Amino acid sequence: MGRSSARPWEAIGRYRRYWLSTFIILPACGAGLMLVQVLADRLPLWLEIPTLLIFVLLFAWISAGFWTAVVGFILLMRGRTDTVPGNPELRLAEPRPQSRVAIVMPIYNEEVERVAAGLQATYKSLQHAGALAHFEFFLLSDTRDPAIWLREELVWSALCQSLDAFGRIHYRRRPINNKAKSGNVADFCRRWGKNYEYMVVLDADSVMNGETLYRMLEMMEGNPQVGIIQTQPLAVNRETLYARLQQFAQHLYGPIFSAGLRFWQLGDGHYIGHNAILRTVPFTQYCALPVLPGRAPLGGPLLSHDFVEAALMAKSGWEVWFVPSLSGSYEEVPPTLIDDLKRDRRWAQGNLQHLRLLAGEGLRPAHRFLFINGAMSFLAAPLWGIFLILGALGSLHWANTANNGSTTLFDWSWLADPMPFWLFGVTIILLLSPKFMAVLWVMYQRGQKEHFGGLFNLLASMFFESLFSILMAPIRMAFHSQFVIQTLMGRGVHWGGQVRGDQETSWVDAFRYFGWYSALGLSLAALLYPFLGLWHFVWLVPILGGLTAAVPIAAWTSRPALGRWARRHRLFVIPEEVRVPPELQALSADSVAYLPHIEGDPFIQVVVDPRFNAIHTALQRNRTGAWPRAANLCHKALEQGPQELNNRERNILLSDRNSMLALHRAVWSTADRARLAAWGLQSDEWKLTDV
Amino acid sequence: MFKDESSYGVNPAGELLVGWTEEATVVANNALVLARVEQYMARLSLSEAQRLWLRGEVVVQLRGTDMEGEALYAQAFASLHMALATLTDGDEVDARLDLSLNLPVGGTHDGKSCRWLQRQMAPAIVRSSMNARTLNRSWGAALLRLVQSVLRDRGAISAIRRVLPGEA
Repeated sequence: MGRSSARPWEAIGRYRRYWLSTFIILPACGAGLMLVQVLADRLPLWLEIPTLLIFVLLFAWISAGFWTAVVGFILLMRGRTDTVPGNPELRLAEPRPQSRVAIVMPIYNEEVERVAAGLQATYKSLQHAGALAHFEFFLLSDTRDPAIWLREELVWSALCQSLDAFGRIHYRRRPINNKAKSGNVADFCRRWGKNYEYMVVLDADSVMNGETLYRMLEMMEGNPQVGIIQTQPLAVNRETLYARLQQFAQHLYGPIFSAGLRFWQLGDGHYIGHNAILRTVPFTQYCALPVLPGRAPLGGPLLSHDFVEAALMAKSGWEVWFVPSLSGSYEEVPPTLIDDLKRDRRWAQGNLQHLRLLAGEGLRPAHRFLFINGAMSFLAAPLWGIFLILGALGSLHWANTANNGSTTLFDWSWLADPMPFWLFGVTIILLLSPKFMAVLWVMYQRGQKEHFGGLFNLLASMFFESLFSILMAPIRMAFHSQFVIQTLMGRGVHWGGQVRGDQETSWVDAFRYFGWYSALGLSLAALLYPFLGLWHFVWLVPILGGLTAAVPIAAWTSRPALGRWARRHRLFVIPEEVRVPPELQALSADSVAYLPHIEGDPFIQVVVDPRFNAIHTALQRNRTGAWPRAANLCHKALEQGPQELNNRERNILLSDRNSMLALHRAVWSTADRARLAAWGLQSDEWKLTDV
Repeated sequence: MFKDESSYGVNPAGELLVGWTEEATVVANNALVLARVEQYMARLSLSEAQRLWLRGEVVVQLRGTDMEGEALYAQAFASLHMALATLTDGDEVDARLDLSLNLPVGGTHDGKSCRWLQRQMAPAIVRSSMNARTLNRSWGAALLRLVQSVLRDRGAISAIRRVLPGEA
């Protein structure tokens, strides 16, 4: 094991990235120059220069995506895997018997049954692949809600019992959530990292195929210079219309973008924080995250840790490979637009923080580019917004000039082109051609279009998905702009649990979150139409239409019923729905139906139920330092009832073995009926007394 | 010591009669407490023999006690937990844990099921340090490094001697 000094792919990668830079910069500059010619005599300098600068920047950004897709498409059509020397797929080695992999699953206030189902599916798949001997699982909980914590413990013990996996599935709950998910993984590395040469990081909704995991282990064993191997997780399992659209888009367009990305990145790849295998020793040594000076949101602990961890790994000489050809890696997408935007809010802050690392000593250029690219995915929104405002001002100025300075309302006479058509055409090509390339790639593969519901349904799905994307774009622009402004103004976000189930957005919520944007769209339409005239206004319809329709879009796309309807009509079908892989079949609700359910308040149950109390108590230790406080809380619980304890107080009691035993005995020894009733104990004695 | 049903006689006559009457009195006087004990035992996956034996132990301990209210309940449950502990020859929590996990009571993990479960939950800790390394993020320093690298590269290029064909 060790870092390699001679890296044959490096020169090739540099060469490829020079070409990418050329493809991005030259057309952007060319387009800018052509726009100069159009605007030069028609706009004043104060309007022309910012319009041009933003145009070139945005053009360059979307052309980066376009060229990535083009390269990916060519590679896939040629049907040859990347044969660059140093490619980890080319060097597989059978794992040594002593090679151990920890599969870590950090969780935070998650739906426990779903987590258990995912873990069980992965476990069984590994068992089926005959590779279980190398792997151990760690459920790393940062859960603060005592009710969920207790469920986690109970489910863990039941899962171990049913799979006969005691000693192979472990559970750890951190009492303090320092540095959120990255801190949780770091805590694992500090405690048990030495025991495991590799670790696979999963999200709470991740599922992985056993053979894929074993293949990743083989790659790590055969490539001692590799620090991280990242798979491309496929979005599956959701039923809301919104999520199905995302799933479909990811399955259809994802492969060409992934192939292209891999072509540029090679051993300077990215890491998305889950569904990846990492070499534990270098990760522990080099990937502890710096805390940025200053306060959140731009200072303090890094909110998006994964890109930085990959950058630090590469900085210390280890290779990071993105291997999209590894199948059998799954995740779930947010079910609704609101949930997606909540996640974007965190990512926006995290990605903007990355800009403060840009000048970091020793970071590789490819990772600096990833930082910029990540930040641009959010900064592009306000830039686009400014560009539109400048465009509207330009149109107004242009119209004024054409009318010799007299601005008239409802002026229909001026019907000149408001925008050069070539600009529109090029932009459309850059944005939409990857979608057509993806469809061509699917059609080119034998039998693949049937996995998307057949050719007609595939094309129809692509059409509706594109329409939806166009309508969604201004909504995202508005929200992302808001996120960027909030972050720059110093308003940070807190770490929150994620919604994993298919939950509908009510109309009330839709109005609460999106009402302002719908109102903005309507107001702008009413305001701009008289000034711009019909022809100019038509150009703004996709933008204003998307904004105006924000409320119904958010509400309707969150409906699982609409998603199921689409599926029945074979729209937005993905290959995993046509041929369901065994590990996804194992995710069905029935698969974890045997897990114990806690009726009522779990805190009461853990105190009262002798079996549940035994499991929980066995897992705690005596916290003598907390005893004076815990004793008072025990008295409070017994005198006033458990309902009077808040979550913090419950956590104190639940963490102390002695308190839990004392409470258990005291409750069962209580003679007072009212107090007993507070703990849910009555029945038999009443019957006896009545008799 | 715990006895299963085969250890008990089937005929409570003779010398056992006195004890039986005494026990019946205790049961009658402490019906409420014993109902609570039964309710507790119903929540454990006990075999019938285990349940009877535990109940008997509680009744024996209640014999001759002069208590009422919570003290009586506390006495009954202390007796029950002592009896449960006897089942595993150890701690009552171990016994309850064995019953929860459907393990033979006291028959596995040397009667130390709690410790065993803790080890299954979290293996032995082998500490290693993981601290963030210093990252120089200064833009000035970055610019200086860039200039230096450009100069160094130029120097490197100029330092390479041209190799002509035939020149070793």
